[in-house]
Amino acid sequence: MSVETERSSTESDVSGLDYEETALTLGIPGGARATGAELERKRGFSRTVDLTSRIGASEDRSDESPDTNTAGSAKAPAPKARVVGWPPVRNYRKNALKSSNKYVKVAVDGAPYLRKVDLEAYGGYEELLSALQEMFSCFTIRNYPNEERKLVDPIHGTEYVPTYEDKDGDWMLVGDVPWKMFVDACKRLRLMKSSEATNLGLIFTKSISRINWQIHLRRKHILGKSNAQLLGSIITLNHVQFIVLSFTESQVWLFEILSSGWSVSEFMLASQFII
Amino acid sequence: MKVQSAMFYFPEEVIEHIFSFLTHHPDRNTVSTVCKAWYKIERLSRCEVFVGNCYAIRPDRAAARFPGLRSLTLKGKPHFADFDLVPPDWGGLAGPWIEAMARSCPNLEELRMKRMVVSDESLELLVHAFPNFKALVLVSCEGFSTDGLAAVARSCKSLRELDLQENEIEDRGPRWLNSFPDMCTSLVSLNFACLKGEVNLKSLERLVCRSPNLKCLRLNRAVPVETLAKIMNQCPNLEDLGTGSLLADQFSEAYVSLISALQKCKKLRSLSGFWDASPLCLLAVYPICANLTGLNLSYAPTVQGQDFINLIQHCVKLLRLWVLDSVGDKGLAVVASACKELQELRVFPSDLFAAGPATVTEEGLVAISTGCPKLNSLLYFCHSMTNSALITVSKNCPNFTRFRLCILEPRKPDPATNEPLDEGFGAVVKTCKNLRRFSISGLLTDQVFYYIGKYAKALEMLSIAFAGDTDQGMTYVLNGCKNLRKLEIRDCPFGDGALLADVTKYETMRSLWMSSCDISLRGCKALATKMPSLNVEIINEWEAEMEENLNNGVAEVISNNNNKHINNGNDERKVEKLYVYRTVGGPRTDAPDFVWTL
Repeated sequence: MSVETERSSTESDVSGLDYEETALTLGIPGGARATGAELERKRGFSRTVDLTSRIGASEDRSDESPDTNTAGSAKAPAPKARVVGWPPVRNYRKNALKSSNKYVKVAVDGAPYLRKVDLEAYGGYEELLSALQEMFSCFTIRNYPNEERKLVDPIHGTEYVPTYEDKDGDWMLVGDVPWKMFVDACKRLRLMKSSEATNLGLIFTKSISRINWQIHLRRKHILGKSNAQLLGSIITLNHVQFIVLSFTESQVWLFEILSSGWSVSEFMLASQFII
Repeated sequence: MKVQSAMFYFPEEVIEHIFSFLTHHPDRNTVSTVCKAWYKIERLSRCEVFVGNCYAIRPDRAAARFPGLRSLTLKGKPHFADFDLVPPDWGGLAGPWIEAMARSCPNLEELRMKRMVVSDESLELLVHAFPNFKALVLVSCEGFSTDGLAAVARSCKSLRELDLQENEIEDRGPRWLNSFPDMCTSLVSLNFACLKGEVNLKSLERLVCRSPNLKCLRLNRAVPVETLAKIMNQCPNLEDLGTGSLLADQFSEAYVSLISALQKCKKLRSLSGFWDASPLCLLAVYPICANLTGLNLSYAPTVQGQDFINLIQHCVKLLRLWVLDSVGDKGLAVVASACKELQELRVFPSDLFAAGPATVTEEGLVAISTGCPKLNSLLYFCHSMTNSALITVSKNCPNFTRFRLCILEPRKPDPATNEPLDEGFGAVVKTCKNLRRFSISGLLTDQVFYYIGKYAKALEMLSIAFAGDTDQGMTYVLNGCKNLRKLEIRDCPFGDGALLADVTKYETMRSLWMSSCDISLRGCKALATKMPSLNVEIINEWEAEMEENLNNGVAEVISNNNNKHINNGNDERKVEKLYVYRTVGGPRTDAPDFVWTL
């Protein structure tokens, strides 16, 4: 890990925000599930919109991919400048040696310059997001066992959705595919503003009702989301434990579990996504 | 004649006793063909079986023939599967073998597999079916996860060896190390260097503490220097060590304890790992270099330049060295001057596409050959090679048994003369009478194959890429190399004429692989018809897309799909990939849709 931080500070790009680079071409998350031949399917924007309106109908994303494909949609024929299987080096070795070199650019909407991270330095999504949190130190990371991952800027309350560009040039939501597959496919990262992401229908969730809320707790900013069944249960937000007391559309009451005792906190629901 | 009849009066026990001195499996194969009595005695007393191609025989039959089996070695996918030339789901499944052994060979103690697909369920079956199971060696395998490893750790009471080399293992967390039994383990060898994920360091330390017999330990990259030092303090008898991450801050406590721990390991002979090695940590290694016989720096791109030179010049007893080409010709020159006993050298490419400046060239190889005359095994990736260098090398080192040279750019000629490299490689086969394995590259004409056919009489395995002009090239090899067992060819202009030049030859070989050559369906069909004892398998990847669509429910399922394609009359179509092997097991029952057995 220490190697990674040493290197990234010498390698970080200080460049102007390049809108060309971060221009979106859309792809739907879940399309990159491994099949026997590991083909990645391209889908058009219209497909995305369709799916958005169908949200709630299908909970399991893995069912969606096969039957919406047609024989006509070609697998992306990556024009190979290299010969397959040449030079004759085992994949294991290629990956192991590559591992000090999987640096990808990280762009954050609104930040003046990009950074670089070495994806191979991390064992999984949690570690990567922690590292991004450190790098863009204005963020805090919410701490959930849920599928989605978000980084939030507590000062302005904007949420950022981590997305990445894959080998086909599609922009995908981080977190859908196994970590190793992601590392292989990821060409660059972009932390996209949540509002923009929702508009583009990029946020898909597995369960039907999920509520996002932004919580201001006196001195601290803690962000997170949960699903409606959490009444009475203990949740952890940013290493702080709470019991969910009550829940309305606009408010949630939490007891903060302090080592010294209990405290009641009132939280204002600032933004809400129900998907 | 008289001697022969005398043998009939020998009681079986005596013959069995004689056979017990035959450990080399080809010898055992030979004696089993002498007569029925010997076949029976041999098969009942055989303990070790080597199956070079898991489809050459049905697992049931192998298990039934050798009920006393204690050690089984299996190889699955063809060699070129290592380089992505074989589609996933091709086969090489370990499951049927483990199941067959579970039914018939309860004494199984050791299982070694290479390029096979092993599932967690198979590993579970393995440890429950064989109470005496002692050693599991998996090389370039896939299909299993750390849960499978946990099962092995948990249930194998007398596990001595768990050796995982370059496998694709799904990481489901570090818990598997906790699964080893709480009392003292019988572990002698543990290698998990290929695991990519985190490891529970406390569990690892405790495991080492209760494994007094440990001689070989290879850690993965997640193990830091602190843990390494603690471990080494626990096992001063270690002979083979694969370090974890060798990253340490200057004069930290971890670093100091590493130095003292290394000093204690007087028996250390082989070192590998060196992940992210910092120059400081290399300093710690110097004191033990003088006794090293094996050193693998091929995963340590940080060890180059003067760091490498400083390290290697101490390694005077080195027999086996694996490095990256970033050590450069200069580094190889130092190897040549220091490591006089060197027998095996492998130089791997650090930059796979030859995009940067040349790192090692023919100069490095010539220097090595001059300084290390005992060299018998070579794997060398380089940007370029000359005929005169190869001639010099073969004069200096006539003892090569394995010679593999890979020039990164296909079809590259001798840069000094712009000629093909026929003469250079020809010199190697002329001088090295014991050459068993040969891989060639660069610009090559049929002439090099003439030389190979004429001189490489001991050759068993030949790998060819982007070489040759006409069918004659391949024919030279088939006709001349009497001991040829494996022939693998890619991107060469060999066609049906070459394929069919000597069809009975393939029965004397384990396998033939041809991809991106000039063979047609007609030729392959002809081969299949003439030689029913061979499996002639074709891999066509547009079939893979067809299978995709079938899975997606788009195309109708056509029941005679394969027949439809094979027999639609267009036999002139070029065959993309051909895999031919001798077998007594008949056509594969587990072949996926994209593999057609003719």
